[in-house]
Amino acid sequence: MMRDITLGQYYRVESFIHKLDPRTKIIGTFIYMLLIFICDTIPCYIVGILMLGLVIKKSKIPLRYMVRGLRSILVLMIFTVVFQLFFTTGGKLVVNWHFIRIYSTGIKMAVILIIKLVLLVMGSSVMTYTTTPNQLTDGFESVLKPLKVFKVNSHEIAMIMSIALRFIPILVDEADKIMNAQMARGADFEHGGIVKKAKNMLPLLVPLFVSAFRRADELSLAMEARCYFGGEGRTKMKPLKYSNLDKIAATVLTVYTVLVIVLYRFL
Amino acid sequence: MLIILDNVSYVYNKGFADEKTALDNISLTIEKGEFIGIIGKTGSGKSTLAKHLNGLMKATSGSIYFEGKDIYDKDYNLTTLRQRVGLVFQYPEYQIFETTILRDVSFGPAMMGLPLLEVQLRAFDAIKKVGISDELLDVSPFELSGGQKRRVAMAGVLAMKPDVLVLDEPAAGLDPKGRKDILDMVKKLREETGITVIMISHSMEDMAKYVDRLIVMDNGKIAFDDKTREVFRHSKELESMGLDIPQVTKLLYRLNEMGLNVDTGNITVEEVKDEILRGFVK
Repeated sequence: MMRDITLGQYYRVESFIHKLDPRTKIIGTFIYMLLIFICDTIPCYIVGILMLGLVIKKSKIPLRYMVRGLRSILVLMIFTVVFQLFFTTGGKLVVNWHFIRIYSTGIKMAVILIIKLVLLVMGSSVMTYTTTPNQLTDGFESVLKPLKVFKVNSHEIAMIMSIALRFIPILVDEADKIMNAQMARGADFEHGGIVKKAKNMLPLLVPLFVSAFRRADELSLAMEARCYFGGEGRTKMKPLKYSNLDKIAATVLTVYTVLVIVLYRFL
Repeated sequence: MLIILDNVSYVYNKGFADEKTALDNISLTIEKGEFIGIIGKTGSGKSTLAKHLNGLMKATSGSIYFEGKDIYDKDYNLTTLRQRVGLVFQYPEYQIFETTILRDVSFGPAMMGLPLLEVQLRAFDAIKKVGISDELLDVSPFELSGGQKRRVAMAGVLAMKPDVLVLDEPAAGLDPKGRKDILDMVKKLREETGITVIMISHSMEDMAKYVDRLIVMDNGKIAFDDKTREVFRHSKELESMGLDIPQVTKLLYRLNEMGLNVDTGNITVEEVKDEILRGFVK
């Protein structure tokens, strides 16, 4: 049961997008999401969809993989559609059946929101599909560096992220072990109502927390023993380097940004 | 016959690229009251085998019978089986969760749905059996030392009054005295209650000293299944499996090579001492 949890969606394949510097991908995704949020007109979205299509094609990730990722927000999408359809008034009255009234503005809003959600989720999944968690944290560390002005230590944030990611499989494994042990003592994790189920989780959660703290303690000691003292003056085994591919990506991104802004302003 | 394994196989990630056979056609019978040891190097399938004995893992193929009943039958009650075949995992102290020792040990019997009085009686009894003092009953288990915690965790399984006790490396990570104390406790428990014990261990010395029958696992298969003494006669084969024979037996082999006529079939310190003395006197 516990083994079903999959984390880190990295999809291993060689592609143009995979080879990009993680910083390019992070900044690109950020700008893309920003544009989706701000410029919410149909022409902008058409360009947005084309852009996403191009990136997905270049990333060589099968489309069904990307679509599968949308399942997690299916409920959210249904909710938004229902709310937009039934509770937005304005424009022409399209459906008038018993108490249900649907207006044209509602339909338009629902469509726009669906496109917005799908583009946001797929846009960010392209990043997680094509970048390993390690690259991601490295990229974040570097991208967030300017925040030093505000006393934000980007190295620490990146370190916390990578340790958290690193420990997820370990804790899943541990939970599996403890679960087995408690099942051997007659514990039941599968039957009963939600309250009973939650109560039955206690024999699992307490040891799991205890072991997480123990591991954290040991890890911090081990880090100190190896003279870890934070990011200051620390060099990297694989320093991030922009390549020509990143120049191409930056150009495409700039063209896209200008195009969307022009479309938004003048159309 | 208490437990019968009939051609049991278990394959991890069956059908995937990283498919791995952990148990390969294991057939085995376990009689009531036996003291059995299981050895094998890491990854040989020992722990997987242990988890099959109480139905925590379901074999990919083959059958397991407990007291003549197929445990994979649809209407077989696996919860009852888990109470009758008590499995103590590696480092059981990490599975303790309750606020007091008494409550933690009571968890198993309480889950069996026994009346409160019976639950507490069993808990008291189990705590006494593992040699934890009554004064500690209401203490938080997290205040105990590592060795004590392990005893409490074992008491948690013993409180279910199992017919079979399966111990996965009960002495791992303990100092020599802790090892001896825990293993002596198991031995005493077996003498007093006649419980069937199956113990997984890496220590040849412990095996030589405590168990009557030794099962050697290699790559998911049973390589040897015989009286402990007989198994240790296969020193060459054991070595090729990444295992060893007791150090004292090795000493006898060396003495033999050097011309002293001693019987290499002795495996415990006491026996070897007598054998060497006999060898010199002759």
